[in-house]
Amino acid sequence: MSHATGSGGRMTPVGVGPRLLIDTEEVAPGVTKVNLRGRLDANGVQTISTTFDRVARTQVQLIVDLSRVSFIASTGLRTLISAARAVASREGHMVFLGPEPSVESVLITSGTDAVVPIYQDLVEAICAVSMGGVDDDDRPATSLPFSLQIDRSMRGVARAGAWVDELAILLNLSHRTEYALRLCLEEAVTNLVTHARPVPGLDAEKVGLRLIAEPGQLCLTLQDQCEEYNPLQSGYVGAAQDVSGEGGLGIGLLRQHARDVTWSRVGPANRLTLTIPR
Amino acid sequence: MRLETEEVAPGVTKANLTGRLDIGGSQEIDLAFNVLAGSQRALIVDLSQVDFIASLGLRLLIVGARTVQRKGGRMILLRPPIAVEAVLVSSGTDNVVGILRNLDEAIHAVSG
Repeated sequence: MSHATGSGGRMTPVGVGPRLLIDTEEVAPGVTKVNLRGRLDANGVQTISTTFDRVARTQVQLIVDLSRVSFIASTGLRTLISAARAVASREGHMVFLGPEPSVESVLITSGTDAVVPIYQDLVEAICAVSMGGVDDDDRPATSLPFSLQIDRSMRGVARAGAWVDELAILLNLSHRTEYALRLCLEEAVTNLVTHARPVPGLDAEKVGLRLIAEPGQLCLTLQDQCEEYNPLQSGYVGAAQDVSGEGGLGIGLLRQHARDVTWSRVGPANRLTLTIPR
Repeated sequence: MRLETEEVAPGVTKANLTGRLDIGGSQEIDLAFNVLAGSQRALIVDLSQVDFIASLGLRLLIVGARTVQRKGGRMILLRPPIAVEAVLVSSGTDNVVGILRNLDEAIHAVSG
């Protein structure tokens, strides 16, 4: 899949010939990753500008891999920002992947990261460009394998269970991980079905699910547009006390099977995120 | 989700559950299981073919056990798979209804 589109060949040592190499690869359907290698200074920008501009003008889901960029100058920043604008002008998304700390700090102090988000993980980057950004995306696309929109109903709970079946095969999950994912989803969605209250004028009948699979863990996010409701506030009640369905047995189980369970209110949305070890 | 019953000793009924005790599965057998718990005094619930349980499934078992116990009867859970047993224990369900791995012991336990 990878094909060199730049000057090709081996990377020239810095200082001998200040060159910047560029190649592109398709890392997911419709998602292009541009790999830059070398110094993103005035000379480097010259060598890649034609190729980079062409990519930015033709792609709408673009990941710019900076992991092998050792230096970035203001010319380089301008090139990256103008590429991001070209992508955004066609309703596309561009993100940076894996910059070294020195490069990342330049991106942050210059405010470039406000225009182009930075990710350290490729899967997260793919999700971000595919779905329009992890932070401001209220309705994940249903067509992507790692996101799903379900009805806030018992039928939705069943659909979430079927999604776990698919994910278990797709991600080759261990029984333990599959169990934890199934339990967390079932408890969290059931909780929304039972306790969340709609806000007039907002679509409260949907729940957006997103799963980001990392090598060591699964990151699960549930988002709805109901009234502000933090499920984690219900105290854990053991089985002996909770038989009515009103207590926190389900959320207690969820906490036992996940780590880093957090709830936040993001604009009109409730967002529950948790990670499951794999 | 399937629920089948058999008499494993005089007056001792074993309920064999097969499938996932998730929300859908729990709802499918909810009525039949409650009827069973309401009519038996010595009940063994065989969980060996249950590969998943969440809070609604736990409630089903807990309510069933309480129903049996209120009549002076006894209920035992038999042979849950490891993952299911972990949830039974971590939720404290095993404080309400005992777990055994051997059928003869279970028959003895519920026969009183």
